[in-house]
Amino acid sequence: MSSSTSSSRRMALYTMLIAAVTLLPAMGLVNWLTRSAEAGAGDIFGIQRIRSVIDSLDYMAATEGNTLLFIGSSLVKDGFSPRIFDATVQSVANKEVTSFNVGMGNMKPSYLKLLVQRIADTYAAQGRRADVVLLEFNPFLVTQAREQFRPFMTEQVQAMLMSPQQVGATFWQDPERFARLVSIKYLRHGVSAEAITGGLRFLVGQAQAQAPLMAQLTEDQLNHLQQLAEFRSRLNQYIREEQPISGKSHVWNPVTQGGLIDMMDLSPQAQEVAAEISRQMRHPKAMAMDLQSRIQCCDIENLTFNDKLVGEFLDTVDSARRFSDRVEIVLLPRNRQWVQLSPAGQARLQALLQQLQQRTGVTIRNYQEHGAFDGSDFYDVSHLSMDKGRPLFSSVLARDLAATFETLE
Amino acid sequence: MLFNTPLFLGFFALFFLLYCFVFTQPRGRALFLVVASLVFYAGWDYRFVPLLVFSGVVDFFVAQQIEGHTEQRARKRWLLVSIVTNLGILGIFKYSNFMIDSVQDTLSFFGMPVSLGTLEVVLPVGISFYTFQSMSYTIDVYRGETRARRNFVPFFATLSFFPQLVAGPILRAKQILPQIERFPQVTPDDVKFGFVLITMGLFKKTIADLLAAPAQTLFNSDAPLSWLETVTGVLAFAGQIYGDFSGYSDIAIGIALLLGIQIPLNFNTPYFALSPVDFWKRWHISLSSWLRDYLYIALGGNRNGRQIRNVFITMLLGGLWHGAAWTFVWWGAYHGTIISLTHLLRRTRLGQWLAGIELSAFRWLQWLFTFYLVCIGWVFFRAESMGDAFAILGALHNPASSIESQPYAGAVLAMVALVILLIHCIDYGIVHRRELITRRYPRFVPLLILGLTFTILIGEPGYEFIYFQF
Repeated sequence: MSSSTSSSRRMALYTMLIAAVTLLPAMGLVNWLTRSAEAGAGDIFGIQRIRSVIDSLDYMAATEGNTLLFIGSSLVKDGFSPRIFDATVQSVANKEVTSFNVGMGNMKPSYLKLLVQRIADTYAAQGRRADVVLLEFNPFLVTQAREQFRPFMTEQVQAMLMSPQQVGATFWQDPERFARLVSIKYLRHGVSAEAITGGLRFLVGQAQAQAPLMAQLTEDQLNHLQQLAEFRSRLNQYIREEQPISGKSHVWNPVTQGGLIDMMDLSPQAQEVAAEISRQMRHPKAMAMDLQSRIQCCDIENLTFNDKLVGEFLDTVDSARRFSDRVEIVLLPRNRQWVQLSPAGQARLQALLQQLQQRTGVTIRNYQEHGAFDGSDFYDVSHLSMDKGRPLFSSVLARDLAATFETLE
Repeated sequence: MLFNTPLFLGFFALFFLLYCFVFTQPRGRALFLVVASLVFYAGWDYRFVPLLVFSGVVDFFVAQQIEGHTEQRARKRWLLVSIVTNLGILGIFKYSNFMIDSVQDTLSFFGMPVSLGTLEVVLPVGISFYTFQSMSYTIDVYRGETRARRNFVPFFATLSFFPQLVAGPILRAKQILPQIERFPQVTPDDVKFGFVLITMGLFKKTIADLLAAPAQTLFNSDAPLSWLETVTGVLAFAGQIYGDFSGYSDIAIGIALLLGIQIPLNFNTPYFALSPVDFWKRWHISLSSWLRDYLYIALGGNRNGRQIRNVFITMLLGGLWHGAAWTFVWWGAYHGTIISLTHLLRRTRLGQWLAGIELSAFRWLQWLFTFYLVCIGWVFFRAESMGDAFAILGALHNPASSIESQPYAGAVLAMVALVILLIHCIDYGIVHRRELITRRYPRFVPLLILGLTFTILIGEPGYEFIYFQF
């Protein structure tokens, strides 16, 4: 080896050392910052729930006995209590069932498809099958408007939902994307740069949009907001004290079978505060603002559907059949007090449900117009409340499904 | 393959290992560099690799012909072959549809509407950069400033050198060819400064991407915005294009340094310029010096009292080089005009008197006025159409506009201004403190780590560099 070659190699090693001295601490800092932000401020990157669900799939698949998975969006996450469901089935059908809440925020069909594929792979790897799989069909998540909602989240959600094999397969189609996915999934704690900047822009945009509205609020309304913040803080305090293990409700927890903290987990004082929060959140001004934002982001009244998203939902049903013989589609109750479908929206929804029925052949349980639910069962225009709506829906669903469980061994 | 993506990091890491540990001899290295550069270029669009090779083969051959002939007419003829080939490639791929549209619009204006259709051509990335670079080689050989090479591989390695292939800086063969023929030993100072450039380039690019949002708000808006938001949008674009392009140049120069190749800096705190002439000595230096050496001087320079005409033509064509649109032509003509006016003013007594003023307050005014002029130019550069540009300029000069600003508009403006200042501070350090940085490198490491952390944390890999489209 000539002296110039060895000197060149020495310089190469020196270069790598200099790179490592800068790059490794920077990567460490990025991970530390994202982890600290999540530890301090909860699911601010919208990824914690997804990450915890993915980490818990093996546990779900390994669970013995009759199992049910309810997979869907934040409507499922907030509106379905597995423990209430199981207890109701037990009392009605005398059948022991273990259900899981696999609901996650912002779960449009393209994400749902990846999630269900991942679940199917996990069950296949363990040689197991779920007895019942309920797939939520949320009409306003399949609209044209929703397809364009928060595109900055897409890459990180997909990176987290994809299996290593799926990530690997992208290399041959799009090496650039492959490298991005690997970086997000394995080097950045699941948090993409787009999600951070996009989230910040989204928040700034929201603040700018809401500033004029906030300026118009009366003193009474401002007091109301302050009161609400105080109640929330008190409830969080109660939850921290009374439920130290399952307190982080957005993280998938085997203790609650993936469901959120229920009223039964709380002391009477805490229950009182929780009920008060639901009541306060239904303030007409807040509901009107929430409705407006749902109209803008999701076309919640007119429901102009996106064919691509509908197609992805159909694929999701097919994937669910890979790990369960009984797949059903569920539409959660609609807050009819606030969300009035336009005649065209109503017609489009009916036509789509017929299409889903024909294409999949599965049972569709539609609770959108169910008479048992009214405005007081929701905490906003779309989500069921912890104190009333969730227990009611979980038990209604359990009674309706009890017959199904009676037929199981 | 963008510099600010994990894919490029992987590509470069692999390239670097092979470059340093396998291909250690100049011949092998040059060939490996060619292969790596072609892979890099094919990552954009493999269909245009033959075009790049064709451009290189023609100029390699033409240069030998020029050197081989002693008769001036023959030499000139061969040079013409190179110029026509390179400009022909540019004309077909970059300007054909612009010319067709312009003819259509002109005929339609005179009441003779015709439909000439459009050509289905895709603009090959980096075409403006490598054709200029390739042409400079044959011109240098013609002028006797460099000798024609007999070995194609180092020549083509120079032309296709991947760090600067798609967005410059535009290198001269005489600057870089001798380096690629012998691959000088990398020094520890090269490595340190290379890392500073790469890190700060990535940081600048990240900042530029953040500035894209307020700039887009203005330039993509269908409705007029408030005065404050118009100022913010224009300022944000000034910062965006500077951070984006100088960031890219810094990364390119830094990567080259890690390979032992020295490339001159391409920016020197341009918004600190005190006149339009000064601005062009600090902005995209490799292009402005290319235009000066190969176009302005070829037109006669400042001889025969034709300085103003030659400046104007040079800037006009410089504007057109940036893009096939009338907005770029206007931008070039605008800069040609303000540079010409600067030259004319300097010849007057008033100009000489002004030049003699040594008050710092006057220097601040000079700086502010130059920055204002440059920002006006950016409106033409960025606007979608001439109509949009004039509408934005109208809003920019109407502080009494009745349109209300969005909440926090003042805070956004202040942040944009601060960020532009920050980029300049970085640039100042890079240009003027190289020796200090390399001597006391450990002291700068925490800053580099912070810059890189910021970049990794929020640097969106999806944002392309603005100059790729040119």
